[in-house]
Amino acid sequence: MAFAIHGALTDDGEHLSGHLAFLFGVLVADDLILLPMAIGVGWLLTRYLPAWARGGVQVGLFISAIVTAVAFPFVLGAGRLADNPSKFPRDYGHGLLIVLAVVWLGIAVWLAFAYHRSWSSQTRSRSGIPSRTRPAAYPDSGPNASRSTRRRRKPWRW
Amino acid sequence: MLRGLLHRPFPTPPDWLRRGPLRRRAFSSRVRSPRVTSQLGLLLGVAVATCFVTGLLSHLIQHPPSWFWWPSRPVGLYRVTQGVHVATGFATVGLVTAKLWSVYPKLWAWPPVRDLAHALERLSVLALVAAVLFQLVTGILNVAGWYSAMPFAFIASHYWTAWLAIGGLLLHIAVKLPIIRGALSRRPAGEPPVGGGLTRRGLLGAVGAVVGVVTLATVGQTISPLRTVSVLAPRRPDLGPQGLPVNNTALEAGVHVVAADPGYRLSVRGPAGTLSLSLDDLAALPQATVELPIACVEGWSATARWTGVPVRDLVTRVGGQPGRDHVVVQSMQRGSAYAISTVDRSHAAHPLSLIALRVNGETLHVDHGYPCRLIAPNRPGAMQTKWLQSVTVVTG
Repeated sequence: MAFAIHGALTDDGEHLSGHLAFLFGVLVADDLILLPMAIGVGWLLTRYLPAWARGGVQVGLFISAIVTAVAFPFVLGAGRLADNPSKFPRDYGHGLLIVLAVVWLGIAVWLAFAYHRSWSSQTRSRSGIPSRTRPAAYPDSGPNASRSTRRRRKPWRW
Repeated sequence: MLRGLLHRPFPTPPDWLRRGPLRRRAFSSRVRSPRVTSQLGLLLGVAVATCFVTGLLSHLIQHPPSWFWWPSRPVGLYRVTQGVHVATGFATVGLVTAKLWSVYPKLWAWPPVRDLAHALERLSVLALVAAVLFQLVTGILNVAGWYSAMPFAFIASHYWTAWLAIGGLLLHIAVKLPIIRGALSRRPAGEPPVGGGLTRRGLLGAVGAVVGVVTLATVGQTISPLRTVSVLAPRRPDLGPQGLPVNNTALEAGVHVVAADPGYRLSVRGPAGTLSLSLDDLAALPQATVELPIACVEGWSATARWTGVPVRDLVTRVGGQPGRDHVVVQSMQRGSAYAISTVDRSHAAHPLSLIALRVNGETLHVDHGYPCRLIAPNRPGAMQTKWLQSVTVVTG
């Protein structure tokens, strides 16, 4: 890390103030704007969506956000030049919509399965048939939990 | 004594400051755990290391220190290393987002700094995160050609920040190693029954999915069979004049007038004197036809058939010795760092290194370097100098 700092300070090709500002800027943008937004959306989903839908929608939004972020500079076309059609030759706005459509199509299929699973397990539990979908009892929850496993559920030490 | 200084506890801030994200149970997701963080961290570490090694190679080839040597075979090695560099960078965006999400509560740890050692560690993690994000964002901006968004010199900044990132990563792994080992070796005590929503495996699956989607959408610029699938790829490797993309046109380079000059002569200098060769003179010399790729730093590459005079033949004609002497080529372009490039001894002696006059059966298009250009194996596109004005053989 010292090598990096020394190099940046002594390299003639550097524009240190712009470099540092950008380093600081991406950190702030990610940690104080983008991630909190993502966490907020996650909280809203957990609150307002039925349980079977949460996973699929979370994954769909996650992929959509990342793909949009990556595609954004290309959609803007900032690097395009009139005399060079081989540079960024595609319609990237169109391309982004195609990718999002494919992703949400996949999510829709997943949600359809999830709904069916949740509906059929509800039907089974209502009619007293033991659920096949619920996984085996966890050792550290419920009346059969031993003292030692219950103790293990303390918050993780990082 | 140093240990004492590093671990002397700082005063704890008053509890009433512990608000908002600093509160004890501010972040509720039960998907977070050292295990998920360690798994994401492992993948991220591999990705960052891959980008670092391939990126460093690319830098060293273009700014070779005296001890550096780069082979001329396999001829497509650079297209692979740089293709991997850019594809890995794209893929890492989703991965780093998931990792940062999983450790987000640690940003709001309480107390914020326990002691000096803790403060230094937190600072180094901040530097690591900033550096990795910087590399990803600037890398993508460079591929997108969006230089006005970067108020600094891309090449220098991207290079030095890479060292910051790799240093921060090594320090981070060293500090967290006990936790990582423990988290990865312990069998999970069963998935906590999260009421709907993602489980740990679901999160890892989601990360795999996002990496897959982004990669498929962009890698067609490097992996030609995927060129129609990759709707977000910055280039189509078969699209451009004579079936090859162009990065720098003759107009942009300011050579469109001088390149068309009918009185053009290539100046070939060596120990035995100087030759002044017109295009007809060059075409009259024994020609070779080779298949070589153009591979750019932005990750795209495309193969073409090039016809021209082998560099080593020109070296011999002016009294040089292939294998001993290196060659410096200069472009008609002015004011660019890439207007001059050096072909080292082994590459200059290589039978596939040409001063090319034709590509894919046609006379070189002016955007591809007419009247003639350098094409050599395993060489970054920016160093395959176009619009050659002179070729100088340097002894030793």
